[in-house]
Amino acid sequence: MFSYKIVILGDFGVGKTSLIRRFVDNTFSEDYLSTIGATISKKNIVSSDGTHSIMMIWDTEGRTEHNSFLKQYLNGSKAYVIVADSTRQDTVASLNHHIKMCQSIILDAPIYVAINKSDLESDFMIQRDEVKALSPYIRHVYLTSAKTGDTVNTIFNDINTAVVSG
Amino acid sequence: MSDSAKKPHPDEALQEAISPIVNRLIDRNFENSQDKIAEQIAPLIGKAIRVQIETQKDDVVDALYPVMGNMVSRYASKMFTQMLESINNKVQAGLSFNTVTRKIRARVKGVSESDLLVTENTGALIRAVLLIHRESGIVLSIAENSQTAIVEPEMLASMMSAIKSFVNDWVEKNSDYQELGEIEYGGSKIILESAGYCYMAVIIDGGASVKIYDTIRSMQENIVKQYGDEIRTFDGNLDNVSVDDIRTKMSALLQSSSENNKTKQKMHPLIYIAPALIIGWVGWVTYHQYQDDALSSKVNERIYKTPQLTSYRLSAESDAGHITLTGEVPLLYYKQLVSDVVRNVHGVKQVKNKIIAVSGYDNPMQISSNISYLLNGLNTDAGMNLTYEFNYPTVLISGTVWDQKRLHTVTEEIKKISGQLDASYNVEVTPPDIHEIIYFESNSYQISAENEMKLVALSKKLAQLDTKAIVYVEGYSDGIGSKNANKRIVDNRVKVVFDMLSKKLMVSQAIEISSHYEPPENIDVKTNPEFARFVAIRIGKEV
Repeated sequence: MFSYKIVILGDFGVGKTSLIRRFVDNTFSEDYLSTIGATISKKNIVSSDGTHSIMMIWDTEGRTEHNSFLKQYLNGSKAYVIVADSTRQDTVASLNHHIKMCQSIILDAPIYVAINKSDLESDFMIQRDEVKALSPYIRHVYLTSAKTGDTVNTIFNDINTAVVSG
Repeated sequence: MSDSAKKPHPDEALQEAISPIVNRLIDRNFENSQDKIAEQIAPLIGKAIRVQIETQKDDVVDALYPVMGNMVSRYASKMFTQMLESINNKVQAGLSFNTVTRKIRARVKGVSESDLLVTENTGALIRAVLLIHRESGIVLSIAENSQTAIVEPEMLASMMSAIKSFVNDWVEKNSDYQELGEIEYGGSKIILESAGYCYMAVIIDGGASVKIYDTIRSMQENIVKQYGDEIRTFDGNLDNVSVDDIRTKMSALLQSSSENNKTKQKMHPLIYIAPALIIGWVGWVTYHQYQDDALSSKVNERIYKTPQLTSYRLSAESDAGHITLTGEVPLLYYKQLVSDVVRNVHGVKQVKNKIIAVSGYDNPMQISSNISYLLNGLNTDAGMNLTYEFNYPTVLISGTVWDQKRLHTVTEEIKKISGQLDASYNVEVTPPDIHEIIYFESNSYQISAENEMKLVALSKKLAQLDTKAIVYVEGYSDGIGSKNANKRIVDNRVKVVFDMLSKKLMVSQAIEISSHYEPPENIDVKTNPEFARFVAIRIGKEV
């Protein structure tokens, strides 16, 4: 029986909450509702080997100017999911900032990067290798779409497998 | 200018003209359509207040203060009145079972009685106790009341952790390091007690006493002390944490809380009566047992201190003042005496005398007395001089008796004393020193009257002796004259004495006679020849 916390962070409007809704409830909404403080979701996961896990997902608000509030929420996380918007280059550029913030709390915590909104067309190219090179603790860089559900479950299932396998 | 000053403006004139009509219309409309007006104005009132608060907050506060202040004051005083009434009722209950148990509980728990009283009035009920990993907000263990189970405790724990994080972060920036201690909502609260790598969240309905806080704190310390390492190294795998053991420990908080509530809410008055009856019964029995023991001791002491009864093994047992006497005495007199003595003891209501009066009573002192009486009687016989040493059940008879007959008498009499005595004898058979000398005149063998009296007295002594004794009769002469004459005279003297004893005085013992024709060696016949003319009679020892 496992029970652990993960934190999702990234700039505002990149689709952090949508990724979680897709994973937890398998729903999606086009409406944008800004997250204030933190929203917490719970997901029961049963691994292929039958191991039962409770994943507590902390969805943080996307504001970056008041990072101090966020730092407390990063404590005790087994993994970080840092989300960027494939259509907004500034959100990709600030990945490094988020990564450093996570590492300032837990240096060796695994980081999973999700480049969201892959269903939309982008006017710039994202080199996943370049992103992965930002930190040795980045386990994987995913291209996801909360809207279509593409690769969303994969991120969380990978995290769960990593936690359960120790 | 002057005209214009005098003539009103056309609008003003019109206003003046229709104003009374409009006012009447409004008044009439207001009276007829109050509901409609209220409906239209209502949304505006809220908006107007909000605007007023934004712009003139102090004015609004000043305006509402008398109303709100009164409301708060009245509500608070009403609540205080209810609480005081409740406390007064409990105080007035005086020495009720509740009051006594509360006093005892307060003493045992080390809290003030008023603290307990407030807790009872506020009716604290602990709904759940959660042990939460401090950094991750993960629930490590939960103990909850089955009737008020918490939905999604993991969510609750995470949200509380988020709130704690928020507050801690804010507090850190604004003052010294402090932590969120509790969250209140409605009539409930969540007490947060942090220690080490975890914190405990206790969800409680109603007021929590100081004791509850202390208990939570000490339980938290206890858990951290025992499971601190497991919690510190927690990596998400709950199998590495003693979840069940921690739950068991935390359940003690729930039990104490729910027991308190059950006692308060559900206990039927009969439940008070049963223990009260048992305690009363035990007290009554103990008291009467004590009374009976005291009375029994008193009665037994009185019997023992009664000289005539001291030597008997008697027992008195009291049952609510009813005395039962048991034991044995030799005579009915003693049995009656015991009853009389016991009846005079204060507190004795009734006497049941089961004492047995037995003859031949096997009492050492009585046996000793009996032996003493017997020997005193026997010693009145000149032929017996006996004493005894008694160490129950042995008796040693010592002394002297004149003959075997007396010795036989002694042994037979001792046998008659009851008590199955083990008797032994150190009795010497010593014949009495009986002797008599009968003097004769010269050449005479006639017994004088005086000497005959002596022989009569002698025969009486001999009559007291055993027939087996031997009476020796020996004759002597003064040696004056011829040998034949002396022989004849001595033989005759011996014969007359023999005849006197055997025939006239009927002495039953054997008489052995002997004649000596010379004077005894210790007598000087030249000066006192009359002292040699005699017959001596003596008793010989038996063989």
